[in-house]
Amino acid sequence: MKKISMWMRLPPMNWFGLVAGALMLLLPFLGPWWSATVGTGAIDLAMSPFDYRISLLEQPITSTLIEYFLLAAKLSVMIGGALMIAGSVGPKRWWGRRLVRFGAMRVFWMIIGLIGFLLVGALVMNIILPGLMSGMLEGGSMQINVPYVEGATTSTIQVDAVTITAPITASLTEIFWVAVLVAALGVAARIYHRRFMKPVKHVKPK
Amino acid sequence: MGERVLGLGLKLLGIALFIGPFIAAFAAHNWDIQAAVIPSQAEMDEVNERVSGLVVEEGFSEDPFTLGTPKFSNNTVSVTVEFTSPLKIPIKITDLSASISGQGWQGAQVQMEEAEVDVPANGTANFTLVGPYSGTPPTNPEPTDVNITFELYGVTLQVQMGAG
Repeated sequence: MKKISMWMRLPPMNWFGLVAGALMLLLPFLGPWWSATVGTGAIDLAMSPFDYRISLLEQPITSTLIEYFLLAAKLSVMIGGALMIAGSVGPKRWWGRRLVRFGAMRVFWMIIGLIGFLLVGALVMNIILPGLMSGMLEGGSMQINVPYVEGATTSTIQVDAVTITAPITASLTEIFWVAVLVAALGVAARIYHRRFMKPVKHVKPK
Repeated sequence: MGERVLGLGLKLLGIALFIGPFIAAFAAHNWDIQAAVIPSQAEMDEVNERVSGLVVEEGFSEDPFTLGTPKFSNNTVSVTVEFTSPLKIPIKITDLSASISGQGWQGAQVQMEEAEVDVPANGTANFTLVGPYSGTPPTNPEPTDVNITFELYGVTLQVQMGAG
């Protein structure tokens, strides 16, 4: 008698999509992906595509528009995750591919967006801001070094007889690497889903 | 047909999730774009209050310092210092140095004896400056060229206060 493995007996599913979808439902609640500090609480930043915390001298600063945007991002990933689970459970159904595609690349693009935002932010702080501020510091100098995504730097501002030195540290959190895993699973789910699609027959017109 | 409708529905959902936050945020602030984008006045007032706590209106002069008369013994000069913080937040003095000079005397450099001194908001701290000297001490020694380094919220400020 031919043995049928447990794996073979399971209904066809997009396993990558199932795991990615489940993690996408959790990801918005896990915490910030990146954090930075100037001094010890002079400025604190923590952000992810779903949440942000900015505090200046321990006083939090918020913006309604950003909060709503991040709420939409949270909803978008959770809906994407739920639809991806649905699409992965019924991969051969006509709606399977559409649902998987809706959620598969969401976290991937969020990672790209966050890294891009951090790089542009550091670039503006390091290169553009000193140029803009140079006119304001008569006889003074400004040397701003903001880490590109991760690292520890020191920025110095000197005006007359006063020199201000601020250590800046920035780092990606463990949650960021969870997000990278979710993004990789999402991409894998999208690729893996192709095996459930019927091959398209190309008929030559007579 | 069904797939096309689903595709259109998902596209509309994506668009709604992009446009929705704009509409919701502006509607929450009676379509006042500025109020929706920038932090609330209460938050900004709180930040201003904290920043103003760092600013000393009359400048960071030597007024906060009361330097005692230098004492000379065993080739060491010591000066007691009373520092009254003009800042509304606690600070940590990590370094303070000065020159002690006097007529017909080559002078001496003194430095903080303590590694660091914590000063509470608008509070007072006492510490001692010490340093070696040689020669005969002057009759009217005066501290000059005071340099102070202090730390607030982990940010270091170094102030050179010139001749005293």
